[in-house]
Amino acid sequence: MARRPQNSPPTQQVPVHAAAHAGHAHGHDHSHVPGEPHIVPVKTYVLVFTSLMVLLVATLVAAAFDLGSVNLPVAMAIAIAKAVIIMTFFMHLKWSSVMVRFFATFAFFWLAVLFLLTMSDYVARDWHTAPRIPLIGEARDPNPYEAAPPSRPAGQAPAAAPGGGSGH
Amino acid sequence: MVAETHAAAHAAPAHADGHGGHSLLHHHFDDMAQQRECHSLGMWLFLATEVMMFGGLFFAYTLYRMIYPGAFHAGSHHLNHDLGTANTFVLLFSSLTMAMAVHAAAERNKRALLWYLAITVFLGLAFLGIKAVEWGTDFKEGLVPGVRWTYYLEHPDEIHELTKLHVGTQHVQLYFVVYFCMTGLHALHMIVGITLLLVFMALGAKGAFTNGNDQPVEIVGLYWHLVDIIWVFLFPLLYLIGPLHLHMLGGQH
Repeated sequence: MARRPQNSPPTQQVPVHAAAHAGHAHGHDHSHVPGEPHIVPVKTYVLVFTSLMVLLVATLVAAAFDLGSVNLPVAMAIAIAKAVIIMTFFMHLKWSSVMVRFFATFAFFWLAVLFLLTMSDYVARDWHTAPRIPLIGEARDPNPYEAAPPSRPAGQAPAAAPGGGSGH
Repeated sequence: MVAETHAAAHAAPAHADGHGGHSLLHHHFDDMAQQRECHSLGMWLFLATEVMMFGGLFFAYTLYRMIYPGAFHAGSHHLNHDLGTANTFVLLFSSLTMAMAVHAAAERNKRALLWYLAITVFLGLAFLGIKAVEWGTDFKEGLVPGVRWTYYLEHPDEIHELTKLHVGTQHVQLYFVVYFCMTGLHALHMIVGITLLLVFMALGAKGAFTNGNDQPVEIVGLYWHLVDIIWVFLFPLLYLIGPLHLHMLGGQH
């Protein structure tokens, strides 16, 4: 770069220092000096941005076609690809320690736990099949979760109410 | 004494190499490598809590979309897809300029750092501007639940269409509640990010990040990129819900 600030002489690195930390820092990248910033080439960033643009176009193309029930998985797969690229390069996980990568990955692991456990509860309890709120001008569905209406003509059997009342 | 030996072993590289930047080493760290590692780890831990906070909203979205797929489809159609696409481009581009700002700080190039931060702030403001236009349109059309929900009063014919698909307008309203919560919380993060970047520009102009102390820029960059990632998921989920199929409505009966 053309302008170097006044107060930055080239770094003198003592070899012992590098050797002492080669074990725990920045695993695979031997050119990098621990404690100094990892300088990612501009070319890498431009390539990453280009691939993000390609994926954005892919998102729009996929949305333009009616893929039926595959719509959502395709859109999510492209979004996940974008997120992984941003995390790997822009967020420097490629050059981060195992510990930092572990934390970054586990953020999404906990999110998966939140989704799986809560969603399994919602799905298994059949809450989402509870009767719909009737629309304007629409007859009301018989509500199996409500008690039978208190006033009905004498001698008539109560309407069948699957799971009504006793289940809860 | 273990601690003494430890300190002695690191004294030479950490403090006696004539490198001014190492006065940036805080006393509770052994060396710059450990300090950098801890700062990164701390920020990622915070980002994990951010993922969980937005995760709650993403879960609400998933659940209500599962229960009322038709209403989410109908609600999504009210959004301006072109503006959403433009905003996605703006944010992805701002992630590039943010990464370039981190690069400039690591290279101790103050001029480039300030320029890239300024461009990132500009793009962030452009995003919020486009979002404000979208929200303004929603308000004018009466699509803001609890504030101005008059769209279907003015378009009763559309209620009829939705009724045929077993979609209730109250569930379209639910879609817009989720929409405003998610984009609102995201926009709040954008405002925080832009404010941080403005502070960083002021400090950076004094040379605070180009004297070897580049890591704060990297840390604020992590925040900016995470906010970008959240939008990467919001865009297809809110704007690009595919055409409605009758079999998708199974959950509504």
